[in-house]
Amino acid sequence: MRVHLESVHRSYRVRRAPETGGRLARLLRRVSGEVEALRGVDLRVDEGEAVGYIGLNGAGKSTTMKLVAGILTPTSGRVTVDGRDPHKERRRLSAELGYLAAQRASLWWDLPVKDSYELLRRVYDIEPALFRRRHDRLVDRLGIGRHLGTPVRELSLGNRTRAELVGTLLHAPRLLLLDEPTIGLDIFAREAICDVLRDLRQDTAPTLLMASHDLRDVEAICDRIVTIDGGRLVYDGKIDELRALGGGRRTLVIHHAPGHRLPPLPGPARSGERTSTVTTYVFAQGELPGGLLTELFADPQVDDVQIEAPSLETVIKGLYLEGA
Amino acid sequence: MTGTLRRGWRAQRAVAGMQLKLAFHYRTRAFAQGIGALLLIGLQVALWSAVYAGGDGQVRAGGLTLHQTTVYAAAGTVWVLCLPGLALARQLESKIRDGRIVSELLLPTGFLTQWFSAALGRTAGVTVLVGVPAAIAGAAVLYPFTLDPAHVGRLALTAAIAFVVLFDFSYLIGLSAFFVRRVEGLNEVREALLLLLGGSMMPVSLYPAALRDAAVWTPFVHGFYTPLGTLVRDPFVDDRVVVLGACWAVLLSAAAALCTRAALRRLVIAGG
Repeated sequence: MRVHLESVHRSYRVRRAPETGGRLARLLRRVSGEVEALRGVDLRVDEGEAVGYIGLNGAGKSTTMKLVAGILTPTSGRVTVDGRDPHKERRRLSAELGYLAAQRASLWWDLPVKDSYELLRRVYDIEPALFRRRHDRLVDRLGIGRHLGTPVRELSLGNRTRAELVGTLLHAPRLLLLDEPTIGLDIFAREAICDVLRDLRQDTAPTLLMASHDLRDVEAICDRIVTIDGGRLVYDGKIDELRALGGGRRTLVIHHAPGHRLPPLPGPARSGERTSTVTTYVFAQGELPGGLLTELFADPQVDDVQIEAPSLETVIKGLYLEGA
Repeated sequence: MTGTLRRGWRAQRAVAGMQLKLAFHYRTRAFAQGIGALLLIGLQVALWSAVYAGGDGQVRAGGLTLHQTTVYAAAGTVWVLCLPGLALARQLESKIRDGRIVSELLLPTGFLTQWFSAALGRTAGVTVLVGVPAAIAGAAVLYPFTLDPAHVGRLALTAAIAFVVLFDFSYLIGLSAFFVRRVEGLNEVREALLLLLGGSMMPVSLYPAALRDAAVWTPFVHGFYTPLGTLVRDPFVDDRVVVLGACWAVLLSAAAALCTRAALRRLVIAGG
Protein backbone atom coordinates (compact mmCIF):
# COMPACT_ATOMS: atom_id res chain seq x y z
CA MET A 1 0.00 0.00 0.00
CA ARG A 2 1.21 3.49 -0.78
CA VAL A 3 1.18 6.15 1.90
CA HIS A 4 1.25 9.81 1.01
CA LEU A 5 1.25 12.85 3.27
CA GLU A 6 1.13 16.27 1.62
CA SER A 7 1.82 19.41 3.69
CA VAL A 8 0.14 17.84 6.68
CA HIS A 9 -0.46 20.02 9.69
CA ARG A 10 -2.05 18.72 12.83
CA SER A 11 -2.72 20.89 15.82
CA TYR A 12 -4.95 20.54 18.83
CA ARG A 13 -6.21 22.77 21.57
CA VAL A 14 -5.13 22.38 25.15
CA ARG A 15 -6.73 24.04 28.14
CA ARG A 16 -4.59 25.62 30.79
CA ALA A 17 -5.26 27.36 34.08
CA PRO A 18 -4.97 31.10 33.52
CA GLU A 19 -1.88 32.61 35.07
CA THR A 20 -3.27 36.08 35.54
CA GLY A 21 -6.34 37.53 37.23
CA GLY A 22 -7.92 37.10 40.62
CA ARG A 23 -8.84 33.80 42.23
CA LEU A 24 -12.44 33.93 41.08
CA ALA A 25 -11.47 34.93 37.58
CA ARG A 26 -8.95 32.08 37.42
CA LEU A 27 -11.63 29.66 38.57
CA LEU A 28 -14.13 30.74 35.96
CA ARG A 29 -11.95 31.73 33.04
CA ARG A 30 -10.66 29.18 30.57
CA VAL A 31 -7.47 29.71 28.68
CA SER A 32 -6.75 27.52 25.73
CA GLY A 33 -3.72 27.31 23.56
CA GLU A 34 -2.83 25.45 20.42
CA VAL A 35 -0.19 22.77 20.18
CA GLU A 36 1.19 22.03 16.74
CA ALA A 37 2.05 18.35 16.57
CA LEU A 38 2.87 18.35 12.84
CA ARG A 39 3.95 21.39 10.84
CA GLY A 40 3.77 20.65 7.15
CA VAL A 41 4.92 17.06 6.81
CA ASP A 42 5.49 15.72 3.30
CA LEU A 43 6.13 12.03 3.15
CA ARG A 44 5.73 9.33 0.56
CA VAL A 45 6.12 5.64 1.34
CA ASP A 46 5.90 3.30 -1.62
CA GLU A 47 4.41 -0.16 -1.77
CA GLY A 48 6.57 -2.67 0.08
CA GLU A 49 8.96 -0.05 1.42
CA ALA A 50 10.15 -0.18 5.04
CA VAL A 51 10.70 3.20 6.65
CA GLY A 52 12.15 3.87 10.07
CA TYR A 53 10.55 6.91 11.65
CA ILE A 54 12.85 8.53 14.15
CA GLY A 55 12.23 11.39 16.49
CA LEU A 56 12.49 12.61 20.04
CA ASN A 57 9.59 12.28 22.47
CA GLY A 58 6.73 14.52 21.33
CA ALA A 59 8.25 15.02 17.88
CA GLY A 60 5.06 13.88 16.12
CA LYS A 61 5.82 10.23 15.28
CA SER A 62 2.72 8.71 16.84
CA THR A 63 0.53 11.49 15.48
CA THR A 64 1.75 10.68 11.97
CA MET A 65 1.03 6.99 12.54
CA LYS A 66 -2.51 7.71 13.72
CA LEU A 67 -3.15 10.00 10.77
CA VAL A 68 -2.07 7.24 8.41
CA ALA A 69 -4.28 4.75 10.28
CA GLY A 70 -7.25 7.10 9.88
CA ILE A 71 -7.72 7.49 13.62
CA LEU A 72 -6.88 11.19 13.53
CA THR A 73 -7.63 13.74 10.85
CA PRO A 74 -5.18 16.41 9.67
CA THR A 75 -5.89 20.04 10.54
CA SER A 76 -4.76 20.88 7.03
CA GLY A 77 -3.00 19.04 4.23
CA ARG A 78 -3.83 15.65 2.84
CA VAL A 79 -3.21 12.08 3.93
CA THR A 80 -3.91 9.23 1.56
CA VAL A 81 -3.37 5.49 1.64
CA ASP A 82 -3.55 3.96 -1.81
CA GLY A 83 -5.09 7.23 -2.95
CA ARG A 84 -7.92 7.09 -0.38
CA ASP A 85 -8.65 9.16 2.70
CA PRO A 86 -7.88 6.80 5.61
CA HIS A 87 -10.26 8.56 8.02
CA LYS A 88 -13.24 8.37 5.70
CA GLU A 89 -12.45 4.80 4.74
CA ARG A 90 -11.23 3.67 8.14
CA ARG A 91 -13.22 0.45 8.20
CA ARG A 92 -12.04 -0.66 4.78
CA LEU A 93 -8.45 0.30 5.56
CA SER A 94 -8.51 -1.45 8.95
CA ALA A 95 -8.94 -4.79 7.23
CA GLU A 96 -5.54 -4.32 5.58
CA LEU A 97 -3.81 -2.46 8.36
CA GLY A 98 -1.75 -3.76 11.24
CA TYR A 99 -1.01 -1.27 14.00
CA LEU A 100 1.15 -2.13 16.96
CA ALA A 101 1.69 0.43 19.68
CA ALA A 102 3.71 -1.37 22.29
CA GLN A 103 2.68 1.06 24.99
CA ARG A 104 -1.00 0.26 24.56
CA ALA A 105 -2.59 -3.16 24.89
CA SER A 106 -4.98 -3.98 22.09
CA LEU A 107 -5.65 -7.54 23.19
CA TRP A 108 -8.38 -8.05 25.77
CA TRP A 109 -6.72 -7.46 29.09
CA ASP A 110 -8.61 -9.92 31.29
CA LEU A 111 -9.00 -12.78 28.84
CA PRO A 112 -6.51 -15.45 27.75
CA VAL A 113 -4.44 -14.51 24.72
CA LYS A 114 -6.03 -17.25 22.58
CA ASP A 115 -9.51 -15.74 23.12
CA SER A 116 -8.34 -12.44 21.71
CA TYR A 117 -6.88 -14.21 18.68
CA GLU A 118 -10.14 -16.05 18.12
CA LEU A 119 -12.02 -12.75 18.24
CA LEU A 120 -9.59 -11.26 15.73
CA ARG A 121 -10.12 -14.27 13.46
CA ARG A 122 -13.85 -13.64 13.46
CA VAL A 123 -13.63 -9.88 13.17
CA TYR A 124 -11.22 -10.06 10.23
CA ASP A 125 -13.12 -13.01 8.80
CA ILE A 126 -10.03 -15.19 8.38
CA GLU A 127 -10.65 -18.64 6.99
CA PRO A 128 -10.05 -21.14 9.88
CA ALA A 129 -7.38 -23.28 8.18
CA LEU A 130 -5.45 -20.20 7.03
CA PHE A 131 -5.78 -18.68 10.48
CA ARG A 132 -4.44 -21.86 12.09
CA ARG A 133 -1.41 -21.89 9.78
CA ARG A 134 -0.55 -18.23 10.39
CA HIS A 135 -1.27 -18.51 14.08
CA ASP A 136 0.92 -21.58 14.59
CA ARG A 137 3.81 -20.12 12.60
CA LEU A 138 3.77 -16.77 14.41
CA VAL A 139 3.26 -18.28 17.85
CA ASP A 140 6.15 -20.65 17.20
CA ARG A 141 8.44 -17.91 15.83
CA LEU A 142 7.74 -15.60 18.73
CA GLY A 143 7.80 -18.36 21.32
CA ILE A 144 4.56 -17.58 23.12
CA GLY A 145 2.95 -21.02 22.87
CA ARG A 146 3.16 -21.48 26.64
CA HIS A 147 1.28 -18.24 27.26
CA LEU A 148 -1.76 -18.68 25.04
CA GLY A 149 -3.95 -19.61 27.99
CA THR A 150 -2.67 -16.78 30.17
CA PRO A 151 -4.72 -13.58 30.59
CA VAL A 152 -2.95 -10.70 28.87
CA ARG A 153 -2.65 -8.71 32.10
CA GLU A 154 -0.51 -11.48 33.63
CA LEU A 155 2.09 -11.47 30.84
CA SER A 156 5.48 -9.81 31.15
CA LEU A 157 6.08 -6.80 28.92
CA GLY A 158 8.19 -8.88 26.52
CA ASN A 159 5.61 -11.63 26.19
CA ARG A 160 2.78 -9.16 25.93
CA THR A 161 4.50 -7.34 23.07
CA ARG A 162 5.16 -10.66 21.31
CA ALA A 163 1.51 -11.60 21.80
CA GLU A 164 0.41 -8.20 20.50
CA LEU A 165 2.60 -8.65 17.43
CA VAL A 166 0.98 -12.01 16.67
CA GLY A 167 -2.43 -10.33 16.96
CA THR A 168 -1.28 -7.55 14.66
CA LEU A 169 -0.05 -9.93 11.97
CA LEU A 170 -2.80 -12.57 12.02
CA HIS A 171 -4.80 -10.94 9.23
CA ALA A 172 -1.66 -10.48 7.08
CA PRO A 173 -1.86 -6.68 6.84
CA ARG A 174 -0.51 -4.95 3.74
CA LEU A 175 0.34 -1.85 5.71
CA LEU A 176 2.11 -2.23 9.01
CA LEU A 177 2.46 0.66 11.44
CA LEU A 178 4.72 -0.11 14.36
CA ASP A 179 4.94 2.47 17.11
CA GLU A 180 8.04 1.73 19.18
CA PRO A 181 7.53 -2.02 19.01
CA THR A 182 10.62 -2.89 21.02
CA ILE A 183 10.49 -0.27 23.73
CA GLY A 184 11.51 -1.63 27.13
CA LEU A 185 12.23 -5.13 25.81
CA ASP A 186 15.19 -7.34 26.63
CA ILE A 187 17.59 -8.41 23.92
CA PHE A 188 15.90 -11.77 23.28
CA ALA A 189 12.43 -10.32 22.87
CA ARG A 190 13.83 -7.56 20.65
CA GLU A 191 15.69 -10.01 18.47
CA ALA A 192 12.66 -12.28 18.15
CA ILE A 193 10.51 -9.37 17.02
CA CYS A 194 13.13 -8.06 14.59
CA ASP A 195 13.60 -11.54 13.11
CA VAL A 196 9.89 -11.95 12.49
CA LEU A 197 9.65 -8.52 10.89
CA ARG A 198 12.66 -9.17 8.66
CA ASP A 199 11.17 -12.47 7.49
CA LEU A 200 7.84 -10.83 6.94
CA ARG A 201 9.46 -8.30 4.63
CA GLN A 202 10.96 -11.11 2.60
CA ASP A 203 7.77 -13.17 2.48
CA THR A 204 4.93 -10.71 1.95
CA ALA A 205 6.69 -7.33 1.77
CA PRO A 206 4.05 -5.19 3.47
CA THR A 207 4.56 -1.45 3.48
CA LEU A 208 6.11 -0.74 6.85
CA LEU A 209 6.42 2.42 8.90
CA MET A 210 8.25 1.91 12.16
CA ALA A 211 8.65 4.59 14.80
CA SER A 212 11.46 3.82 17.18
CA HIS A 213 14.08 5.29 19.44
CA ASP A 214 16.24 2.26 18.92
CA LEU A 215 18.29 2.71 15.77
CA ARG A 216 19.55 -0.86 15.90
CA ASP A 217 16.01 -2.07 15.17
CA VAL A 218 15.55 0.45 12.41
CA GLU A 219 18.84 -0.58 10.80
CA ALA A 220 17.89 -4.24 11.09
CA ILE A 221 14.51 -3.87 9.43
CA CYS A 222 14.29 -0.70 7.37
CA ASP A 223 16.15 0.61 4.38
CA ARG A 224 15.08 4.21 4.68
CA ILE A 225 15.03 6.61 7.58
CA VAL A 226 12.81 9.61 8.10
CA THR A 227 13.65 11.87 10.99
CA ILE A 228 11.13 14.23 12.52
CA ASP A 229 11.81 16.99 14.98
CA GLY A 230 9.29 19.44 16.38
CA GLY A 231 6.66 18.35 13.87
CA ARG A 232 8.91 18.87 10.83
CA LEU A 233 10.85 16.31 8.83
CA VAL A 234 14.56 16.97 9.13
CA TYR A 235 15.89 14.02 7.14
CA ASP A 236 14.48 11.58 4.62
CA GLY A 237 16.81 9.18 2.90
CA LYS A 238 18.70 5.90 2.89
CA ILE A 239 20.47 4.78 6.04
CA ASP A 240 23.84 4.81 4.29
CA GLU A 241 23.27 8.35 3.09
CA LEU A 242 22.39 9.39 6.60
CA ARG A 243 25.64 7.91 7.84
CA ALA A 244 27.49 9.90 5.19
CA LEU A 245 25.96 13.04 6.68
CA GLY A 246 28.43 12.54 9.48
CA GLY A 247 30.81 14.28 7.04
CA GLY A 248 32.93 11.19 6.47
CA ARG A 249 34.64 11.88 9.78
CA ARG A 250 36.53 8.99 11.32
CA THR A 251 38.04 8.61 14.75
CA LEU A 252 41.34 6.85 15.31
CA VAL A 253 41.40 5.34 18.77
CA ILE A 254 44.78 4.14 20.07
CA HIS A 255 45.02 1.99 23.19
CA HIS A 256 48.50 2.07 24.62
CA ALA A 257 50.60 1.50 27.72
CA PRO A 258 49.92 3.91 30.59
CA GLY A 259 51.63 7.25 30.05
CA HIS A 260 53.10 6.23 26.69
CA ARG A 261 53.82 9.25 24.54
CA LEU A 262 52.89 8.66 20.94
CA PRO A 263 55.13 10.06 18.23
CA PRO A 264 53.62 13.13 16.51
CA LEU A 265 51.20 11.87 13.84
CA PRO A 266 51.21 13.76 10.57
CA GLY A 267 47.70 14.56 9.40
CA PRO A 268 45.12 13.63 12.02
CA ALA A 269 44.21 16.24 14.60
CA ARG A 270 44.09 15.04 18.19
CA SER A 271 40.52 15.17 19.30
CA GLY A 272 41.45 16.21 22.79
CA GLU A 273 40.08 13.03 24.35
CA ARG A 274 42.95 11.44 26.10
CA THR A 275 43.38 9.23 29.12
CA SER A 276 46.56 7.61 30.34
CA THR A 277 45.89 4.57 28.15
CA VAL A 278 43.75 5.89 25.26
CA THR A 279 44.42 8.67 22.76
CA THR A 280 41.99 9.61 19.98
CA TYR A 281 42.45 11.51 16.74
CA VAL A 282 39.87 12.76 14.27
CA PHE A 283 40.45 12.71 10.54
CA ALA A 284 38.48 12.90 7.31
CA GLN A 285 37.69 9.59 5.65
CA GLY A 286 40.47 8.59 3.22
CA GLU A 287 42.96 11.06 4.62
CA LEU A 288 44.78 8.78 7.03
CA PRO A 289 48.49 8.97 6.10
CA GLY A 290 49.75 5.79 4.42
CA GLY A 291 51.89 3.61 6.62
CA LEU A 292 50.62 5.20 9.84
CA LEU A 293 48.75 2.12 10.94
CA THR A 294 51.76 -0.10 10.22
CA GLU A 295 53.88 2.24 12.31
CA LEU A 296 51.41 2.18 15.18
CA PHE A 297 51.10 -1.61 15.16
CA ALA A 298 54.86 -1.88 15.16
CA ASP A 299 55.04 0.16 18.37
CA PRO A 300 55.37 -2.35 21.25
CA GLN A 301 53.70 0.15 23.62
CA VAL A 302 50.52 0.24 21.49
CA ASP A 303 48.00 -2.47 22.39
CA ASP A 304 45.24 -1.81 19.88
CA VAL A 305 44.22 0.61 17.16
CA GLN A 306 40.60 1.16 16.04
CA ILE A 307 39.04 3.32 13.36
CA GLU A 308 35.47 4.27 14.19
CA ALA A 309 32.77 5.77 11.98
CA PRO A 310 30.30 8.05 13.74
CA SER A 311 27.29 6.11 15.00
CA LEU A 312 23.85 6.81 13.59
CA GLU A 313 22.91 8.19 16.99
CA THR A 314 25.69 10.75 16.70
CA VAL A 315 24.60 11.76 13.22
CA ILE A 316 20.96 12.09 14.23
CA LYS A 317 21.90 14.02 17.34
CA GLY A 318 23.77 16.36 15.03
CA LEU A 319 20.61 16.79 12.92
CA TYR A 320 18.56 17.72 15.98
CA LEU A 321 21.20 20.16 17.17
CA GLU A 322 21.35 21.75 13.72
CA GLY A 323 17.57 22.10 13.77
CA ALA A 324 17.65 23.67 17.21
CA MET B 1 -22.26 -5.97 -1.08
CA THR B 2 -23.85 -9.05 0.47
CA GLY B 3 -20.38 -10.34 1.31
CA THR B 4 -19.48 -7.06 3.02
CA LEU B 5 -22.70 -7.12 5.02
CA ARG B 6 -22.14 -10.73 5.98
CA ARG B 7 -18.58 -9.97 7.11
CA GLY B 8 -19.84 -6.96 9.07
CA TRP B 9 -22.53 -9.05 10.71
CA ARG B 10 -19.99 -11.75 11.65
CA ALA B 11 -17.66 -9.13 13.11
CA GLN B 12 -20.44 -7.61 15.22
CA ARG B 13 -21.48 -11.06 16.40
CA ALA B 14 -17.88 -11.76 17.38
CA VAL B 15 -17.71 -8.53 19.40
CA ALA B 16 -20.98 -9.38 21.14
CA GLY B 17 -19.70 -12.91 21.81
CA MET B 18 -16.55 -11.54 23.38
CA GLN B 19 -18.57 -9.36 25.75
CA LEU B 20 -20.75 -12.34 26.61
CA LYS B 21 -17.59 -14.20 27.50
CA LEU B 22 -16.37 -11.25 29.55
CA ALA B 23 -19.70 -11.13 31.41
CA PHE B 24 -19.10 -14.74 32.47
CA HIS B 25 -15.51 -13.88 33.31
CA TYR B 26 -16.81 -11.23 35.72
CA ARG B 27 -19.52 -13.53 37.07
CA THR B 28 -18.64 -12.87 40.72
CA ARG B 29 -19.51 -9.22 40.19
CA ALA B 30 -22.78 -10.17 38.51
CA PHE B 31 -23.70 -12.56 41.32
CA ALA B 32 -22.86 -9.93 43.94
CA GLN B 33 -25.05 -7.43 42.09
CA GLY B 34 -27.78 -10.08 41.93
CA ILE B 35 -27.66 -10.53 45.70
CA GLY B 36 -27.81 -6.75 46.12
CA ALA B 37 -30.83 -6.69 43.81
CA LEU B 38 -32.57 -9.39 45.89
CA LEU B 39 -32.15 -7.30 49.02
CA LEU B 40 -33.49 -4.25 47.20
CA ILE B 41 -36.48 -6.23 45.92
CA GLY B 42 -37.24 -7.34 49.49
CA LEU B 43 -37.17 -3.72 50.61
CA GLN B 44 -39.43 -2.60 47.77
CA VAL B 45 -41.96 -5.35 48.46
CA ALA B 46 -42.09 -4.21 52.09
CA LEU B 47 -42.50 -0.56 51.06
CA TRP B 48 -45.24 -1.20 48.51
CA SER B 49 -47.04 -3.51 50.96
CA ALA B 50 -47.07 -0.62 53.42
CA VAL B 51 -48.38 1.75 50.73
CA TYR B 52 -51.22 -0.65 49.85
CA ALA B 53 -51.79 -1.66 53.51
CA GLY B 54 -55.40 -2.07 54.54
CA GLY B 55 -56.61 -3.04 51.09
CA ASP B 56 -58.04 -6.42 50.18
CA GLY B 57 -55.51 -7.04 47.42
CA GLN B 58 -57.76 -5.59 44.75
CA VAL B 59 -57.08 -1.93 45.63
CA ARG B 60 -55.64 -0.12 42.64
CA ALA B 61 -53.28 2.83 42.58
CA GLY B 62 -52.78 4.38 39.15
CA GLY B 63 -54.62 1.40 37.71
CA LEU B 64 -52.23 -1.12 39.30
CA THR B 65 -52.78 -3.60 42.11
CA LEU B 66 -50.19 -4.34 44.82
CA HIS B 67 -49.26 -7.50 42.95
CA GLN B 68 -48.66 -5.59 39.70
CA THR B 69 -46.70 -2.85 41.42
CA THR B 70 -44.40 -5.26 43.30
CA VAL B 71 -43.76 -7.26 40.12
CA TYR B 72 -42.97 -3.96 38.38
CA ALA B 73 -40.54 -2.97 41.13
CA ALA B 74 -38.85 -6.38 41.27
CA ALA B 75 -38.48 -6.63 37.49
CA GLY B 76 -37.23 -3.04 37.37
CA THR B 77 -34.50 -3.80 39.87
CA VAL B 78 -33.21 -6.67 37.74
CA TRP B 79 -33.77 -4.61 34.58
CA VAL B 80 -31.33 -1.95 35.83
CA LEU B 81 -28.64 -4.62 36.26
CA CYS B 82 -29.06 -6.17 32.84
CA LEU B 83 -29.46 -3.20 30.52
CA PRO B 84 -26.81 -0.66 29.49
CA GLY B 85 -26.26 1.91 32.19
CA LEU B 86 -23.68 3.97 33.98
CA ALA B 87 -20.92 1.40 33.44
CA LEU B 88 -21.07 1.80 29.67
CA ALA B 89 -20.76 5.59 29.86
CA ARG B 90 -17.86 5.34 32.32
CA GLN B 91 -16.08 2.74 30.23
CA LEU B 92 -16.38 4.81 27.08
CA GLU B 93 -15.22 7.93 28.90
CA SER B 94 -12.13 6.24 30.32
CA LYS B 95 -11.21 4.75 26.94
CA ILE B 96 -11.47 8.16 25.33
CA ARG B 97 -9.40 9.72 28.11
CA ASP B 98 -6.53 7.23 28.15
CA GLY B 99 -6.45 6.53 24.42
CA ARG B 100 -7.55 2.88 24.52
CA ILE B 101 -10.20 3.94 22.04
CA VAL B 102 -7.47 3.45 19.42
CA SER B 103 -7.74 -0.33 19.66
CA GLU B 104 -11.44 -0.14 18.82
CA LEU B 105 -10.96 2.30 15.98
CA LEU B 106 -8.48 -0.10 14.43
CA LEU B 107 -10.99 -2.90 14.06
CA PRO B 108 -12.81 -3.12 10.72
CA THR B 109 -16.16 -2.36 12.32
CA GLY B 110 -18.13 0.84 12.87
CA PHE B 111 -17.42 2.46 16.21
CA LEU B 112 -21.06 2.95 17.22
CA THR B 113 -22.12 -0.49 16.02
CA GLN B 114 -19.16 -2.04 17.82
CA TRP B 115 -20.28 -0.48 21.12
CA PHE B 116 -23.85 -1.49 20.41
CA SER B 117 -22.83 -5.11 19.84
CA ALA B 118 -20.64 -5.05 22.95
CA ALA B 119 -23.57 -3.72 25.01
CA LEU B 120 -25.80 -6.41 23.53
CA GLY B 121 -23.29 -9.11 24.46
CA ARG B 122 -22.92 -7.79 27.97
CA THR B 123 -26.68 -7.56 28.42
CA ALA B 124 -27.05 -11.13 27.18
CA GLY B 125 -24.37 -12.31 29.62
CA VAL B 126 -25.80 -10.55 32.66
CA THR B 127 -29.30 -11.62 31.68
CA VAL B 128 -28.20 -15.26 31.62
CA LEU B 129 -26.38 -14.89 34.93
CA VAL B 130 -28.87 -12.75 36.83
CA GLY B 131 -31.95 -11.96 34.75
CA VAL B 132 -32.98 -15.52 33.84
CA PRO B 133 -32.57 -16.92 37.41
CA ALA B 134 -34.50 -13.89 38.71
CA ALA B 135 -37.24 -14.42 36.10
CA ILE B 136 -37.50 -18.13 36.98
CA ALA B 137 -37.67 -17.32 40.69
CA GLY B 138 -40.24 -14.58 40.03
CA ALA B 139 -42.32 -16.86 37.81
CA ALA B 140 -42.31 -19.56 40.52
CA VAL B 141 -43.65 -17.05 43.04
CA LEU B 142 -46.27 -15.69 40.64
CA TYR B 143 -47.43 -19.09 39.31
CA PRO B 144 -50.05 -19.56 37.93
CA PHE B 145 -49.94 -16.70 35.45
CA THR B 146 -51.16 -16.18 31.91
CA LEU B 147 -48.72 -15.51 29.07
CA ASP B 148 -50.16 -15.22 25.59
CA PRO B 149 -48.01 -14.87 22.44
CA ALA B 150 -49.27 -11.34 21.72
CA HIS B 151 -48.17 -10.23 25.16
CA VAL B 152 -44.77 -11.89 24.77
CA GLY B 153 -44.32 -10.22 21.38
CA ARG B 154 -45.23 -6.83 22.78
CA LEU B 155 -42.89 -7.38 25.70
CA ALA B 156 -40.04 -8.29 23.35
CA LEU B 157 -40.68 -5.18 21.24
CA THR B 158 -40.76 -2.80 24.21
CA ALA B 159 -37.68 -4.49 25.70
CA ALA B 160 -35.82 -3.98 22.42
CA ILE B 161 -36.86 -0.31 22.35
CA ALA B 162 -35.75 0.06 25.97
CA PHE B 163 -32.37 -1.48 25.18
CA VAL B 164 -31.79 0.94 22.28
CA VAL B 165 -32.94 3.98 24.29
CA LEU B 166 -30.82 3.13 27.34
CA PHE B 167 -27.83 2.27 25.17
CA ASP B 168 -28.10 5.56 23.28
CA PHE B 169 -28.33 7.56 26.52
CA SER B 170 -25.26 5.90 28.00
CA TYR B 171 -23.33 6.03 24.76
CA LEU B 172 -24.06 9.73 24.19
CA ILE B 173 -23.01 10.55 27.74
CA GLY B 174 -19.80 8.52 27.37
CA LEU B 175 -19.10 10.20 24.05
CA SER B 176 -19.48 13.62 25.61
CA ALA B 177 -16.01 13.01 27.08
CA PHE B 178 -14.86 14.51 23.77
CA PHE B 179 -16.51 17.78 24.68
CA VAL B 180 -16.50 18.04 28.50
CA ARG B 181 -13.82 17.32 31.04
CA ARG B 182 -15.80 14.86 33.22
CA VAL B 183 -19.01 13.09 32.28
CA GLU B 184 -19.86 12.17 35.88
CA GLY B 185 -22.26 15.14 36.23
CA LEU B 186 -24.14 14.21 33.06
CA ASN B 187 -24.40 10.64 34.30
CA GLU B 188 -26.01 11.86 37.50
CA VAL B 189 -28.50 13.99 35.58
CA ARG B 190 -29.34 10.94 33.46
CA GLU B 191 -29.92 8.85 36.58
CA ALA B 192 -32.11 11.53 38.13
CA LEU B 193 -34.19 11.86 34.98
CA LEU B 194 -34.62 8.11 34.69
CA LEU B 195 -35.62 8.00 38.32
CA LEU B 196 -38.05 10.87 38.04
CA LEU B 197 -39.48 10.51 34.55
CA GLY B 198 -38.39 7.05 33.49
CA GLY B 199 -40.28 5.04 36.07
CA SER B 200 -37.21 3.26 37.37
CA MET B 201 -38.39 3.90 40.93
CA MET B 202 -42.15 3.43 40.52
CA PRO B 203 -44.66 3.11 37.69
CA VAL B 204 -45.30 6.41 35.93
CA SER B 205 -49.04 5.63 36.07
CA LEU B 206 -48.88 6.42 39.79
CA TYR B 207 -47.91 10.02 39.04
CA PRO B 208 -50.46 12.84 38.93
CA ALA B 209 -52.25 12.75 35.56
CA ALA B 210 -50.57 15.89 34.14
CA LEU B 211 -47.07 14.72 34.98
CA ARG B 212 -47.79 11.21 33.73
CA ASP B 213 -49.16 12.50 30.42
CA ALA B 214 -46.14 14.73 29.96
CA ALA B 215 -43.66 12.00 30.93
CA VAL B 216 -44.69 9.61 28.17
CA TRP B 217 -43.60 12.19 25.59
CA THR B 218 -40.04 12.12 26.97
CA PRO B 219 -37.58 9.41 25.96
CA PHE B 220 -36.88 8.43 29.57
CA VAL B 221 -40.05 6.39 30.12
CA HIS B 222 -39.15 4.07 27.29
CA GLY B 223 -36.10 2.70 29.09
CA PHE B 224 -38.11 1.42 32.05
CA TYR B 225 -41.77 2.24 32.26
CA THR B 226 -42.86 1.10 28.79
CA PRO B 227 -41.41 -2.46 28.97
CA LEU B 228 -42.09 -2.94 32.67
CA GLY B 229 -45.59 -1.54 32.31
CA THR B 230 -46.11 -3.95 29.43
CA LEU B 231 -44.90 -6.79 31.64
CA VAL B 232 -47.46 -6.04 34.35
CA ARG B 233 -50.16 -5.06 31.79
CA ASP B 234 -50.36 -1.48 32.95
CA PRO B 235 -53.43 -0.12 31.12
CA PHE B 236 -51.69 3.20 30.50
CA VAL B 237 -49.02 1.57 28.28
CA ASP B 238 -50.99 1.50 25.06
CA ASP B 239 -49.98 1.43 21.39
CA ARG B 240 -49.46 5.21 21.36
CA VAL B 241 -46.80 4.91 24.09
CA VAL B 242 -45.05 2.05 22.29
CA VAL B 243 -44.96 3.99 19.00
CA LEU B 244 -43.55 7.02 20.83
CA GLY B 245 -40.84 4.77 22.26
CA ALA B 246 -39.95 3.46 18.81
CA CYS B 247 -39.69 7.03 17.51
CA TRP B 248 -37.37 7.99 20.35
CA ALA B 249 -35.22 4.92 19.71
CA VAL B 250 -34.79 5.95 16.07
CA LEU B 251 -34.13 9.61 16.94
CA LEU B 252 -31.60 8.83 19.65
CA SER B 253 -29.80 6.34 17.41
CA ALA B 254 -29.54 8.97 14.69
CA ALA B 255 -28.20 11.45 17.26
CA ALA B 256 -25.66 8.85 18.43
CA ALA B 257 -24.48 8.29 14.86
CA LEU B 258 -24.13 12.04 14.19
CA CYS B 259 -22.31 12.65 17.47
CA THR B 260 -19.93 9.76 16.76
CA ARG B 261 -19.02 11.37 13.46
CA ALA B 262 -18.44 14.76 15.04
CA ALA B 263 -16.65 13.41 18.09
CA LEU B 264 -14.15 11.22 16.27
CA ARG B 265 -12.95 14.23 14.33
CA ARG B 266 -12.05 15.84 17.65
CA LEU B 267 -10.00 12.89 18.79
CA VAL B 268 -6.67 13.81 20.31
CA ILE B 269 -4.38 11.12 21.59
CA ALA B 270 -1.18 12.39 23.04
CA GLY B 271 1.77 10.36 24.22
CA GLY B 272 2.40 7.38 21.98
